Amino acid sequence: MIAKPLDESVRLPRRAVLQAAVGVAAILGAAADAAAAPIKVSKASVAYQDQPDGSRRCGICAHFAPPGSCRLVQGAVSPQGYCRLFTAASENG
Amino acid sequence: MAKARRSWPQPSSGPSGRGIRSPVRAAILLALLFGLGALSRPAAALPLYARQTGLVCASCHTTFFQLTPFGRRFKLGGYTLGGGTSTLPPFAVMLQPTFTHTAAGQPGGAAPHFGPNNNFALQEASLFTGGRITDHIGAFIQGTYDGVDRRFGWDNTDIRYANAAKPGGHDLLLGVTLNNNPSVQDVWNTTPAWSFPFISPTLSPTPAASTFIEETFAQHVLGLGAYGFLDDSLYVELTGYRSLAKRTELLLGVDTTDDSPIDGIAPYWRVAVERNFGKNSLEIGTFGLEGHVRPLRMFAAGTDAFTDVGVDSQYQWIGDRQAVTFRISWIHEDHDLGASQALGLADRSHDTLRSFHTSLSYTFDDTWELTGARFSLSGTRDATLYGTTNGKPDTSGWIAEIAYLPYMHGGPKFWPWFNARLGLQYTRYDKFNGAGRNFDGMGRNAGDNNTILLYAWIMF
Repeated sequence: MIAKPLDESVRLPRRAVLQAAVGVAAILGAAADAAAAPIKVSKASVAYQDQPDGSRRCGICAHFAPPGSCRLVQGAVSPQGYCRLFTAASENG
Repeated sequence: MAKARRSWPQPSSGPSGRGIRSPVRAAILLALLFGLGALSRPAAALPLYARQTGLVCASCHTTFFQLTPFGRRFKLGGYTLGGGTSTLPPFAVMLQPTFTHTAAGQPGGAAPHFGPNNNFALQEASLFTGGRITDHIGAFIQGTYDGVDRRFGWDNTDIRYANAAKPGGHDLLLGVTLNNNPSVQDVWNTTPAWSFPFISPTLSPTPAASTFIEETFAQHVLGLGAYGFLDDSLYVELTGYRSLAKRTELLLGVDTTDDSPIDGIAPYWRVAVERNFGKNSLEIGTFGLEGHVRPLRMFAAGTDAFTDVGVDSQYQWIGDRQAVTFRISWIHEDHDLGASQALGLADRSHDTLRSFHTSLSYTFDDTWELTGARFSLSGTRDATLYGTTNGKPDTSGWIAEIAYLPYMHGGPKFWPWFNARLGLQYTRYDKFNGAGRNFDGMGRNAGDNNTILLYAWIMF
């Protein structure tokens, strides 16, 4: 049997494109319904501690949200705490 | 960031494929990139992610692109985390000028337009866009000019939706990914798309064989999948991949030479457990890809089938100024070659491959990195499939690399999001394409392919 190359001129994967488009539409639809709360990361993933690291502490971090939370990290955060994401408020770009 | 890895085992190698050389097609692709970029919020290890989050590169990477636990969650969260105040548009640029030296030159030239040895090249120049599009949708989108093949095309792409839920008091992160490379969506640096070496020479000889999951389908497919991350520990994902039509590939600048597309949908799975305790992070997991392919786009004899199953582990210790990362992965491939054998493209009806990678990196101050690595590929003998002299696919060796990253804590004042990785990498081969000595029947030894790669990897 002689192997034939595929007819490439008409082989746009229409079904795949359609499926992908439906997927994207579902994503966008779900996003429109989703709560606006941004996704934050766990304390364990940033090595959060309740004590400061020298002069570095959450209370003077650009990501700290008074009185006791963080824009990036889940849960209650102490102003005296510290984690790997510490960014002095004046340095935030 | 496509690595220099050859597609699936080829019985013959043709000239470099047809890609986007037309200025019109390149302009279309660039317009798509800019269009997608315009969808992203001008908020925000890409410099565009650093601007979005207001964090330095060292928050997500020990050195790029080894992810930290936080970097992994940034990606799983759909690249949506904010925090920065920059209003610059979400674009970034990458340049990779390189110098490549092999122990013995390659007669006829390392590639068209290049000499047999000691070649300078702009290996890749990429434009990135993405970041947060909405609070729950984000993207990583890369278009790359390949300075060796002299072609512009789409590169790694991962568009995500992610949201958090709390069923039964458990933390559950749910997401959907639309991407173009099996494992590009993964967050551990042990699976093929983002594993060490993070940069490979494209002007040195590349082995004839690799498993299907190791970049064979990169940019040739579109995959849609769903994942869940339970209690910040258990990750489960299922994604289905389908090959693009050749016409679509050409439009996107993909090299279609010796293309063997997936027939139907190929499922990819990933299960991993990560635990973080203090400065330690340990991951153990499994991943795989199963599917049918049409050998060299010929369908007269049906399809071949393959199943790749991998296991992997990554351990990180990240201190205040030092970090250690250990990665290990092992992949077993079963390859049923009924169609290839009928077409005269393989000797056997069934072959197996085993691929092993391990590496250990020591990082000081996120600035200096030393890495040692071992890689090994072995399998059954099939001279027609692999095109090697003794029929074996075996290639193995060692890699040593030193890298200097002066801007992981922030770039110069005029552009704080500038970053660079300057590196010297040495690859030593024990075996190449089946043998240590005279592997090509022309007197070339595996050691003749030992490679020194000097590179600058610039991001801004």
